Amino acid sequence: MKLLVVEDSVRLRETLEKALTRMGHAVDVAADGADGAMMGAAGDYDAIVLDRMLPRIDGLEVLAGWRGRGVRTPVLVLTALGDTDEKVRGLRAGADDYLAKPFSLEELVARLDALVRRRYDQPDPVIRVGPLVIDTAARTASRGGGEIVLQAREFALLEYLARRCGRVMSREQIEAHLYPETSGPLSNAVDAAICSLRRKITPPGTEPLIHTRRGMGYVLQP
Amino acid sequence: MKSIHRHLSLRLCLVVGALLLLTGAGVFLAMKHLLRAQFDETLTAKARAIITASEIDDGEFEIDLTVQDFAGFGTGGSDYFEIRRLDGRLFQRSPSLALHPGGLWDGADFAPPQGNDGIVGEGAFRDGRSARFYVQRFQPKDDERQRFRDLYLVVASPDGAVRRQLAVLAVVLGIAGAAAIFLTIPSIRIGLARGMRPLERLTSDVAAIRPGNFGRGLDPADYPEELAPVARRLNEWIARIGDSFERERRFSANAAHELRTPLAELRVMADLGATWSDEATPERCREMLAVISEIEALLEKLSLLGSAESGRHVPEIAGIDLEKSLGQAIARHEALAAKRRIRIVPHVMPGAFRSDPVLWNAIVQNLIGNAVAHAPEGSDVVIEASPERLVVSNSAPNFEPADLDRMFEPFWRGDPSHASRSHAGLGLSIVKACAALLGANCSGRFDNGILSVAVEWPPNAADV
Repeated sequence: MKLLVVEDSVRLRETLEKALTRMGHAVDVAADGADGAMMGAAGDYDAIVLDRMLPRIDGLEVLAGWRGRGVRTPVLVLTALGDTDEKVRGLRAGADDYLAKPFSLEELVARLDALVRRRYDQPDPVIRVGPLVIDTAARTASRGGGEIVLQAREFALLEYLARRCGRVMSREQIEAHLYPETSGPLSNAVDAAICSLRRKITPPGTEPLIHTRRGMGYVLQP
Repeated sequence: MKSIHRHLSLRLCLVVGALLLLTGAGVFLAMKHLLRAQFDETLTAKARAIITASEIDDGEFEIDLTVQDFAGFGTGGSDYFEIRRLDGRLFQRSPSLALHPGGLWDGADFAPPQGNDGIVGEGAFRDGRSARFYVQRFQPKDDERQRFRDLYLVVASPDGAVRRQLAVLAVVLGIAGAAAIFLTIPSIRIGLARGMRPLERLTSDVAAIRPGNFGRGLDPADYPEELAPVARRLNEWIARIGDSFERERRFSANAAHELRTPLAELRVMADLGATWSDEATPERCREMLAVISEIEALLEKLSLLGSAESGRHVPEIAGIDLEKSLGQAIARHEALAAKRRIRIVPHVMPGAFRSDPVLWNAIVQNLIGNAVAHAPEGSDVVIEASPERLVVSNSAPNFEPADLDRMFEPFWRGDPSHASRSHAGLGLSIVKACAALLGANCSGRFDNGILSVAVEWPPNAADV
């Protein structure tokens, strides 16, 4: 998943960035409402984690601004204001979910997963592409019953392609989703990641599932 | 539990019952007195008629028979008289006593009167009938030879009719009284129930006010004029309780809010270290300790504020070296001031100063710390201190005049985000609470972009 975390607490922002990145997600961060508003409107994120109280522009104003400009990215609002009125205000401003601080990483990620599944109209956390089974909740993959051991980034790539099964995704699109804007990956990083993933999900004697469309990109389909 | 309705009903029933009883008794006694008086007047008139009708004619005692008949003393009459000599010998009796040859009463029952005035008394005939008696000495007219000057008259009249009338009156009054009491009890209960309806409505309206719905209050126009002031007073109290609840709610919400973010930081850092062991580094542990220190500092401030606001801290007044205590407070904030290139400019007027050292240090530390943290980088923080007042001023470009009203509220911050975690917005509320404990006034001024917070001691405040 490509995520945007808008949080003014330096420690929380950096720790969330670190944790989500280690889970294989591409994470961009913003420290205040103005930067967050700009990045959320410009980037193609799978989901956004937005703090409720932010310097410069309040979180709910940022959210209302996105919704007003047609940004449909699922937004999970993090808040230190735990009362029901605040939650209602947040949800009415266009939030898709609400999580009160303090929270566990596991819960945050589970809620983000659920938001993304809903966004792609895939309520089941298990995605099946032919013989390939991808469990986005357990973050495991298998083919024909045999487990496939993937690194976090490889799993993120597989999940990204699986959610867009049958659609050709360009290198640029894949790169934008796999790497945060600030990382600047090597030019062949996407090709290398595709190559590695293709090898792992295609045991000897089986049909390849990732296909290259010359000049266009890659597509996952049985 | 005591019921006003029951209590008033009982009291009113008793009072009304007693009043009815007294009224009945009064009417009865008055009627008895009136009837007796009339009876006695008639008896007296009859006796006087006999005396007037007595005369000596040709040396013989005579009574005009017409008068006797007219007065009811004739044969078959119901009134009787006897005339006796003072020695008790019967001299003459009324024709009506002819049917009672033995007499209706014993002459010895009535001792001859001493004076000439008539006396009325109560008695009974031998046949058991009660009667009224009139006794008077007299001398018939024309008794020139004084042969009849030792006579006295006893007139008797049975008063059974009067007694019967009184008995009928007593029965009528008794029945009327019982009926009145019988009807009064439900009338009182119904009347009281109606009269107490506004009170019951007030009770149910007050009961309907819930802690979360203090804004509803009571409408004094809904109540009679006796209860309208109560409703108005209750509204005042409800409003005050509502404000107090709202302040408490805000305080709790703010306190929870201030603690939630550092706790979230701790939780996520702990999750990170627990999930990936290589993330549990000494640096991350130090970060976690720093977060814990911030939480501790916040809790200490909350504790100090709670202690000051509740008045649990009893001021212990002692002599304080103004210059030295300010110097120590400034020293604690010098590092941050240097980092932000802020110049702290103290102006101390020496003089004997007495205060509570703990509260004084809390005031000074928070005022200076607040100013150093919020003044723009490169600006001055000016401290003016004297035994009468302490003023800390700094430039505040983002401050609004309207903020003056709110800046002493707990957790108020110009910037509500967590950009400045070291200040939870408790400093000025602590200053105000401590100043109040010391009997000092705490106020803020905002002129030309300069915010000044002053703590001023009125004369003799140190004796608090």
